[in-house]
Amino acid sequence: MEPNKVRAVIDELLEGIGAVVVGQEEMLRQIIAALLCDANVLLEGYPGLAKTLSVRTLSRLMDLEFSRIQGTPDLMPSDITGTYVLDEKDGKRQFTFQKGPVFANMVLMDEVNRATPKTQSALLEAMQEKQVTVGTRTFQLDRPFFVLATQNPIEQEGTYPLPEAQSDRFLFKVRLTYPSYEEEMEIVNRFTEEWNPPELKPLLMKNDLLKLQKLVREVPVANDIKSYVVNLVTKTRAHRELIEYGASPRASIGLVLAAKANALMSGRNYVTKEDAKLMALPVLRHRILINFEAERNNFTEDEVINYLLK
Amino acid sequence: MESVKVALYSVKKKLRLIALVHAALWGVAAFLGFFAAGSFFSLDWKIPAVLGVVSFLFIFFGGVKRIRLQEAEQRIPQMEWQLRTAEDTADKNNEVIDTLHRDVMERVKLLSTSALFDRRRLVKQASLIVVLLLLVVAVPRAHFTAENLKEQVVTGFATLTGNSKSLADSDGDSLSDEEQREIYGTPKKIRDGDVDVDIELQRAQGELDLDKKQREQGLFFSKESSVTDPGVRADTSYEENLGDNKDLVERYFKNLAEGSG
Repeated sequence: MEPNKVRAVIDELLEGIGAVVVGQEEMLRQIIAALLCDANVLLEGYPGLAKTLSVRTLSRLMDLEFSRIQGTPDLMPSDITGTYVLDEKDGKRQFTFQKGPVFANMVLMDEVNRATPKTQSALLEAMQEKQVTVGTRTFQLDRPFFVLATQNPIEQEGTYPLPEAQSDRFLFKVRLTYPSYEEEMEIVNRFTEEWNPPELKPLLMKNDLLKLQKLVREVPVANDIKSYVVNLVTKTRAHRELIEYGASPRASIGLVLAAKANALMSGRNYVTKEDAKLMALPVLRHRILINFEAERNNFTEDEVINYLLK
Repeated sequence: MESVKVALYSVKKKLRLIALVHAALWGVAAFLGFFAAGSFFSLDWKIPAVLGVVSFLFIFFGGVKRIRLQEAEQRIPQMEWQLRTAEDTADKNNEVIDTLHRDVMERVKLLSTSALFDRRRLVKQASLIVVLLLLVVAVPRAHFTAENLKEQVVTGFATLTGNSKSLADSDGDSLSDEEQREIYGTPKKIRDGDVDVDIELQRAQGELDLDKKQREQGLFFSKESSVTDPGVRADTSYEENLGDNKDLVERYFKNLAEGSG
C-alpha cells in the first residue's frame, strides 16, 4: 500500500469516528498511531470524555473484536485471563478453558488503577508477549491485539498506581482534554435530541491493519532523527535537577516507531523531526518521574518534556 | 538502489559547484579587502592577490569537506529529510523505501542548480564586494595612507597639546627670513662682479639627502666613504653642491688664504 493511500484510509477512519464522537481528534490519531505500531495505550482523562465510545467505535470501524473490563479492587486475574471450568460433555466431566475478556482484539481496561497490582500484572504478559498463561498452558492471543487502559487523574483514594514496569509497556499515555465550547454544544445537541447513530461499517479489515503494521516498520528513518531521539531520551536521564528517573531505551524504540506511524498516517514515506517532536509527549510523559523540586515548582511532566525539546 | 546513489551524487555535485561560486566570491571580497588595506599601507597589489587566492582555496576546500545533503534540503523545504533519509537507506529496499527512492529520483531530476543557491548569502557577498570596491576606489583618491594619517595624527596631537607652532615649523620651511637667520645664521653670499652668488649649503640637498647623493656617486661603500672618513663626505658633498660655482668658490677661499697669510 502506498503511503498516500494510507493517509486516505486514516482520514476515512477519522471521518467515520467523527460521525459518532465529537472532537478528540488528537486522542483518536494517537490511538490509531498506537494500533499501527502494534502497541498499547494508557488513556488518562476525567470521566465523560467519550473514551469508551471512541474505542468501541474504532473497533467497529476496524472490524476488531472488542471487550471491556471494569477495574475494581476485587477483580481477580482469572476474571481477565479466563479460567478452567468443570464442563460436562457426553456424560464426562472435564476441565475446559473458559476464555476471559482478554481474548479479543481490542481490550478496554477501564480504571486500570482501581484493580489490584496482582490483577494489573495479569495484563502484563498479554500486553507484551501477546499471550496468556493459565496454569501450565499458554494461549496465543488473536492478532492484532491491543490494550487500552484508562485511568482517572482525580479520586486517587483506594487506587493502585501502575508500577513503572507496567506503565513502561504502554507506548502512549494519552491525556484527554475537555471539549471546546463549540464541540460541547454539538455534543449536547447530538445526544439530547432524537439522534440516529450512523450505521458503522468496517473501513479497515483485520488483515489490512496487520499489513499497515508491517508497513509502519518499513518506513525509513534518517540517522539524524534516530540520533535526535536517542539524545532526547538520554537527556531525560541527565537532567537530575528536574527528573528523578529518566526514560528507558524502550522509550527510544517507542518514539522512533511512533514517529514512523505518524509519518505514514500523514502520507509520507520518510520521517521528519516534527514527527518525533509530536510524539515525544505521549511517549515520554509516563516514563519519567519528576523530582520533588520540580513538583514543588508546579512543573508537570509535559512541561519538563517541552523544556527538553527546546 | 544504485540510481538513488547517482541522483544523490548529482545533488552533491551541484552543491560543490555552489560552494565554488561562494568561495570565489569570498576570494574576490578578500582580495578587495586586502587591496584596500594594501593601498593604505602602500603595499604591492600582488600581496592582496595572493591572499585572495589563499582565502578562496581555504574556503572552497573547507566547504567541500562539509557538504551535506542537509544544505540542499534547507534550500528546498519540500525535500526536508527526504534526501538524508534516502542517503541513509540507499543500500536497503522495501515497499516504502522503494517509493521514497522513486520520489527522490523524480524530484532530483527537476532540481536546478539555481534553486540550491542561498540567495541571502549571495546578496550579502555581493553587497560586501560592492562596499569593498568603493573602498578600493576611494582610498587612493583621498590619499588616505598610513603616512598621511600619521602626519595628521601628529599635527592633531600637537594642536591639542598647544605645540602646534614649533612642531609645524620644525622643518623650517615656513620660517620668515629673520627667523631663518636666527637659526641658520646669515646667508653666505659672495659677490662676483655684479652678481651675488649664494655659497651656502642647501639643507635639503647637503644634509638631508647626503646619503642619496653619495649613493648616486657610488661613494657610499668606497674606500673614501663617509663611514671611514667623515671629512671626505663633508668635502665631497659641499664641493658637489657648489656646481658651476666651484671654481669661483675655490678662488674666493684662495684669495682669503693669501690675504690672511
